[in-house]
Amino acid sequence: MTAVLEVRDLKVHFLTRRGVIAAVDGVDITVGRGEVLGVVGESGSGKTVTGLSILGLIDPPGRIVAGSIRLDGQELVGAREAQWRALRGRKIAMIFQDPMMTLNPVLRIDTQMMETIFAHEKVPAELARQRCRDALGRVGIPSPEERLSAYPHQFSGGMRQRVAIAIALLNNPELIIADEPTTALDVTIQAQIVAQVQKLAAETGTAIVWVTHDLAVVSGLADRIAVMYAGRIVEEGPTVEVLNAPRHPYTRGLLSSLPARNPRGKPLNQIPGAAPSLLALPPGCAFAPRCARALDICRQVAPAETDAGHERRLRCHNPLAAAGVAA
Amino acid sequence: MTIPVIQTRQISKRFVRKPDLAGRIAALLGVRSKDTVIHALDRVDLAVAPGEVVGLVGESGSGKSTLGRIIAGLQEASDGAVLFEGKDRAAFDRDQRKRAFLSVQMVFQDPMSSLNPRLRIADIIGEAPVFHGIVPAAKAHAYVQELMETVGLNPVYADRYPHQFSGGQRARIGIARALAVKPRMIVADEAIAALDASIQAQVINLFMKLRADFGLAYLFISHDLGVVQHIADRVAILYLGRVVEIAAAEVVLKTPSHPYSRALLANMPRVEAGKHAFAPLEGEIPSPIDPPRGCHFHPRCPYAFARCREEVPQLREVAPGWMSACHLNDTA
Repeated sequence: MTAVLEVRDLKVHFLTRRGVIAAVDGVDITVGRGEVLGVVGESGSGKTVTGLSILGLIDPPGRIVAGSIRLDGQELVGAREAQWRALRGRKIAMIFQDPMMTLNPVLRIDTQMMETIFAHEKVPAELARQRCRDALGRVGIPSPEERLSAYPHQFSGGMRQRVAIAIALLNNPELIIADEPTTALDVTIQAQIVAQVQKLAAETGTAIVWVTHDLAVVSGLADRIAVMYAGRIVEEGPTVEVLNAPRHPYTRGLLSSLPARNPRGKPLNQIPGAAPSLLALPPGCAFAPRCARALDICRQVAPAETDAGHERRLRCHNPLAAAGVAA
Repeated sequence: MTIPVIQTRQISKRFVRKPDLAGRIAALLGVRSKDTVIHALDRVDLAVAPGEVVGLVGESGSGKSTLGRIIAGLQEASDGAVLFEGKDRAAFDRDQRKRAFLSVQMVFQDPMSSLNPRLRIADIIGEAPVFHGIVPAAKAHAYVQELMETVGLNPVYADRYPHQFSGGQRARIGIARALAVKPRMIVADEAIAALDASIQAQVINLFMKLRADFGLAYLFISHDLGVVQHIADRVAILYLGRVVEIAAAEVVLKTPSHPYSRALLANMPRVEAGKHAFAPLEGEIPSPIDPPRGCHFHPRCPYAFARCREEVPQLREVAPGWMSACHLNDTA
């Protein structure tokens, strides 16, 4: 599989008055054509910042201090604004959590959609409009012709998110970054959107990075899962394997705290404590203070990334045994 | 049978929006217009027994928060009655009212917007019990410290302000405040929805511990079926202001009877399922301004037939303790 996106040792720091915040601290990501990568983490884990840096949307005081981001082999770190403008909306697109923030409330849907086409191509207006109509149809908006001349407030939340997805798809991008796109939606609407995205990714070969806090959503959608904690990917691998046999204690803690994995009415397995402040990260492994398996070395040396076999990567000194070996 | 802590009897809630200036001018000129009426709740019966946990599940716009707020006394129902310990709350005198409303406390979703940012934790938790004479002012300090320990907060932080706490700690402050007036029941409205995954489990465990320690009853409002399934004894499923199904949690969330409950369950994302093709429910929840005739769910229901479009299905017992409102129950 050829990689559409290759992120290597990405470090994004925010310089604040209270110190340097390493929001993303050495992240590696590879996504192939048509592949869906789920990036899972809690607030402050760096998952959103990772997504934003792939689109060059990190503003001061944040800055990419190290690493490389390659899209189809083209280096994006240090790209000039003109290069970014040519890329965004054409080769990379983004879907945000709140479609009301992405859509301009005073412009009709067709104006906003056609703008996305005209920014990259010279096409007759009639043809552009037709492409917009087709895109709305593809994401399951009924009577797309009439809806084209509606304003964003005339759509429901789920429909607005479909419009945002349609805009992202307009120029057949190679990569879509989706940041919590279904978090604000009801479960039945969420299922509709996820089904649509699943179908589109399979049809168009668009690679998707799906950033979320919800393990359950990506478990049904993603080919691979990357679990982030305090700015690092602590575990990555094929979805089924990571979920069925997590090897990092944090991943296992998250999974075993799910109500579905606990006997009904009994206390849930919980991870003690709270995520550390990125201003005062503990030395060694950031998860060590909350980890039941922590050794002395965990409190002193940050674990390096290791290849755990079966296309899995890990950052842990004392991982759980691989499936088959475990009792 | 034990007397329920709270029982709603056929309560309905309508929000009426008066015509705006343009509408009033139009009316003066002889244009006839109607007030916009939002039907948030439609004849809901729900009872919560002492020490019982009732889960209330529904999508946005289903009326679940409105029902919670009416039960907690933050809003008045348009029709129907709320009974506290078997007696109509509307008929109470001043002292009875005070006791009834103090007995049902609320925990909100967003702990930051429900805590006064300018008050210290000690005042946030301690104000109500002192005001209502539950604890003399002189003993308030010790009382607050004890409550903080109960909910798992370090009492030395009593003089801090809300912004100095993490999300999970703020949720605990909200819970301590609700506990401070010694309620018999807590209405938790999406109380864990805003918390991170690893913190959610901690707060759910706290809710369960408090239930065991104080015999508290809960109305647990949530869109997360997994959480509700875990802690609720009974679950009520709400759709566009009506209860469509109510039964023991293990029944309603395993083998639901109502087509909407089934769809909701099928659409719930699960880690267990692994990568799979989603089979979503078509359509969206209709507008409560102009709800569909007959069964509210019929425009989205794969089994709808002529009767569903005309007649409102009543909640009927399909098995002991298991109620469902669907015309299919009559034909089966």
